[in-house]
Amino acid sequence: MPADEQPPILGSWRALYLLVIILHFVLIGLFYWFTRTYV
Amino acid sequence: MHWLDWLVMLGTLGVIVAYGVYHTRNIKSVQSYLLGDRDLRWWTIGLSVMATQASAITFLSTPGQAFEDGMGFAQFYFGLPIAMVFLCIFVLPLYYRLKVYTAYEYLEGRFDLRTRTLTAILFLVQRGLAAGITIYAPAIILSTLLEWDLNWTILGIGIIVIFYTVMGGTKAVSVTQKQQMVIILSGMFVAAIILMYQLPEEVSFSNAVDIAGHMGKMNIVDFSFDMSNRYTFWSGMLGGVFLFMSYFGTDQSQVQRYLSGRSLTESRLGLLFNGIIKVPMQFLVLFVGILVFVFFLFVKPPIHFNTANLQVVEENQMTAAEMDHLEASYDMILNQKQEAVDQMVAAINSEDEAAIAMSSSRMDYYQQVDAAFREEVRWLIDVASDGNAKTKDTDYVFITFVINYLPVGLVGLLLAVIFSAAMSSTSSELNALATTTVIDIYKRSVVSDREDEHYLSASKWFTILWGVLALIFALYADLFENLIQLVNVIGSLVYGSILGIFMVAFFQKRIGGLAVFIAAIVAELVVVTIFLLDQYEVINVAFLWLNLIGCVLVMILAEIFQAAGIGEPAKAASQS
Repeated sequence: MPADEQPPILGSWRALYLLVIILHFVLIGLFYWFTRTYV
Repeated sequence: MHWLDWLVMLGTLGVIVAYGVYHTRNIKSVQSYLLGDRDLRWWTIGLSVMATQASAITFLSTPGQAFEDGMGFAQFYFGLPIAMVFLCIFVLPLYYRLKVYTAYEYLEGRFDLRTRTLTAILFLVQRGLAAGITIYAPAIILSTLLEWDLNWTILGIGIIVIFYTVMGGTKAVSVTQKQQMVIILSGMFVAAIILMYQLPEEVSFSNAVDIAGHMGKMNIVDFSFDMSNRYTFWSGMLGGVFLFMSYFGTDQSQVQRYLSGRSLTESRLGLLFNGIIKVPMQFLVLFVGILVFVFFLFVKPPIHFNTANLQVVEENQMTAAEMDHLEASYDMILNQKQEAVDQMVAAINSEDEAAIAMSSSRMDYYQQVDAAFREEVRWLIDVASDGNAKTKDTDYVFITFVINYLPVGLVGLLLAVIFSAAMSSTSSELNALATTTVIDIYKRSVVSDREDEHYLSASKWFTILWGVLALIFALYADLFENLIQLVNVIGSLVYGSILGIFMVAFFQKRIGGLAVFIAAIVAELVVVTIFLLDQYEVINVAFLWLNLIGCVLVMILAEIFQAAGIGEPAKAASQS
C-alpha cells in the first residue's frame, strides 16, 4: 500500500470516515424531521 | 434575450475557458495530459468529481421533478457518502499503489487482458453514446424556449468543450470544473433567494414551505420497504450504494478525476468532500423546484411548459379550437385555485387547524383538476403531432421560470449555470474516453512501442475523435428518440455487473479471469431479463435494485464457477 498519511483533522482516517457517516445520518434525521413536520 | 444576459453568459463561460487554456498551456507529456502531473488539491478534486456527475440536465430536470413529485428524489443520493467511504478505504489505495492511468488497467494485472479489454469496451460504448446525449439534452430544451437554432446550440457547446479539453487534457478539465462548479452553486443559490423575493409580500418563507408541505411536496424520506417504489430510504441506501460504488469506483470519467490528486490523502479528501456536499446540494436544487411550485401558485403557470408542443397544437386545425376552449376553462379554474391558495395562507397564519385542513382538501381538489387539464393538453399534443412529440414537460419548468421571471443579468447567469454543467460533464467524458482508448486499447494492443510524444498526440486526436462522434450523435439524436432511451437504460443495466467484476477482483482473491468473465455475462443476462420482465409489467422492480442484483450475482456466480473448476486459477494475489 502507498504511504498512508494521516488526514489533516481528527488524527485518523477511521475517525474522519466516521464523521462523514455521522454527518450523513444527522442530515437524514433532519430530512425525516422536515418530512414529519411539513407533510 | 437582453444584451446584458448575453454579456454575463458569454463573459462567464469565456473567462472560465480562457483560464483553463492559459493554466494548462505547458502540457508536454502524456502523463501531464492524462493525469495532470498528479498535483491537484482536494478541493479541486471534490468539485471536479461533483461537476462530472452533475450534467446540465441535472439542473433542468431536478427542479422539475420536485415541482411534479416533491422532494423524494433526494433519497436517490443517500447511498453516496457511504460509497465514498468504501472507495477511500478499499479502492483508492489500490489504484495509487499500482499507479494506473485507468480503472481497467488494474483488471489485467488481477485477471487477464480479455477482462480488461471487455470492461474498457463496455465503458467506451456506454459513455461514448452518453456523451452525445449530455450535449443534446440541454440543447433541445434551451433552443426550444430561447428560439435558438438547435444545431448551432449543440455545435456551440460541443466545439468549446472539445477545444479546451484537447488543449489542456485532464488538468484543463479539472481547473475549469472548479470554476464551473462555483458558478453552478452560486447560480442555484441566487435563484433560490430571488424566488423567495418573488413570492407575494404576505407569503413568508415559512408559509411557502408550509404550503408545499400541505400539498404533499415535502416528503423527503420514505421508510416503506417497497421494491416497486423508485425512491425510498432503502432503495437509496442499498441500491444507491452499489450504483455509486460502481460509478465512482469503475467509471473512468470519475476515476480519472481523483487519480489526478497530489497524493492518496488529497484524493481521499476530495471524495469525502463530495460525500458531505452532494446530498445538501441536491436538496438545494430540489428545493428550488419546490419554490418554483409555490411561485406558480401565485402566478399563472402555462398550461404546458414546452412552448414548441403548444405551437404544434395551435397549428393543427383539429386541435387548435379544442385548445382555446381548454385554456379558457383553465383560466377560470386558476382564479378559483388562487382563492383557495389565499385561504390556505390565511389559515396557516391564523394557525387554525380546522381551516388549514379545509383549505388543504380544497387545494387537493384543484391540484387534481389542474393535473386533468395538463393530461388533456398532453393528449392534444399527441393527436396534433401524430404521437411524435415528447409530452412530458417537467424538464421545461425551471428554465421557463428563469427566462420569464428572473431579472435581466441573472437570466444570463443561470444560462451560464446550465452551459457550465453541460460543458463540465462532457469534458470529463471526452477526456476519459480518450484516455481509455489510448491506454487500454491503442497503446496496449495496437501500437505499443512508440515514444511519449506519439501517445500525447494520439490522446489529443482521440479526444477530437470522441468529441466529433458525440457531436454527430447529438446533431442526429432527435431522429433516434428510442436510442436515447436505450442509452439511458444501458447505464443502469451494466453498472452492477462491472462493479461485480471489480468486487471479485478486490475481495475474492482465489477467483480467476475465466470464472469472473462467464459470471459477468450470466449476471448481465439475468439483469436484462429482470429489466424486460419489469418493462412488460410481469414483475415490478425499481431500476436502482438492478445495480445490487448485478453486482451480487457476479460475486456469487464467480465463486460457484471457480469451485466447479471452470477456468484457470487466479493469478497470485499480487494486486491486493
